[in-house]
Amino acid sequence: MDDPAILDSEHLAHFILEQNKIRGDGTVHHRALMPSTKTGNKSVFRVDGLDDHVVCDLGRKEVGQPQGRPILGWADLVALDVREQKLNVRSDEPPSRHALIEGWPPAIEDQRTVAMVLAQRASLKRC
Amino acid sequence: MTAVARLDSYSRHYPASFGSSAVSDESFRVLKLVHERFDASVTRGVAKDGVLSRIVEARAGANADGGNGDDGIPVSLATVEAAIKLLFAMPSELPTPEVAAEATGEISFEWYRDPRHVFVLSVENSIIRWSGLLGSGTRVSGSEPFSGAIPVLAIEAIRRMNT
Repeated sequence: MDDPAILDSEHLAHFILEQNKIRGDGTVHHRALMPSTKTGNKSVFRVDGLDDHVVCDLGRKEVGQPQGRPILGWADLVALDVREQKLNVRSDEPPSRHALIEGWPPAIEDQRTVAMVLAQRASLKRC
Repeated sequence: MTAVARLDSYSRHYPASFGSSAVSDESFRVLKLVHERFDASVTRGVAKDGVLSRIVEARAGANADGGNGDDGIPVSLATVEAAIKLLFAMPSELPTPEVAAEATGEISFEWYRDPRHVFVLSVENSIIRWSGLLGSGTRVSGSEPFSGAIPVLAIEAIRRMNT
């Protein structure tokens, strides 16, 4: 269910650990924005008002360190762009600031076109 | 030429691509499969711009520990076989795609021009899927059982994206 407490203007960060999720031209690969094969959701953090180095620290602590891997950067999305794809955003704490993008279409090929549109609208931030 | 001789000969085309011994073993198994199942096509001129070796590498890399993300599904040998079939079914005039293993257990073939023009064909066991953005907000997607032929609609979309 969509969470109205998350404003349309809020920035959402999906942390990237694999190089194949960043294109050679410096844009986000749609692969980075596909839902998890385990949960069917996309994990993001609400990062409005945070400086970039603070976002990197958040990613290292909550995503990178638990997997023993470095954070390469993050895909920065705006909640409205997510909702325009008929997806929902809802808070999912703990950890602090964590949220989920839910409501993906069931077919992988349709998930992929949605991820392509999100990637088109996302900006890549590097740590 | 015997099957083993053909395989030895063929393997010489790809020696440098495979780093670890685990990957080499994997490569050898898949190359053997290629020769068993696709002999006629292979001996016709195979390299297809190195895409075949990239299929092998993609599977080996994805199935290595952590190679396909923390929630990745292993790529099956049947999927590799389907990817090779797809490669040989591709019209030769299409640009060379990027090949990758996906967390979904698929092997994907991607044509990318810019974020608004991108098309992916993927196979997973006996299913072929396609997804694309063709500019001006046009989206296409679909799937069907994979019999070895690429859907005409998908080929037309790739051509359209690259013109």
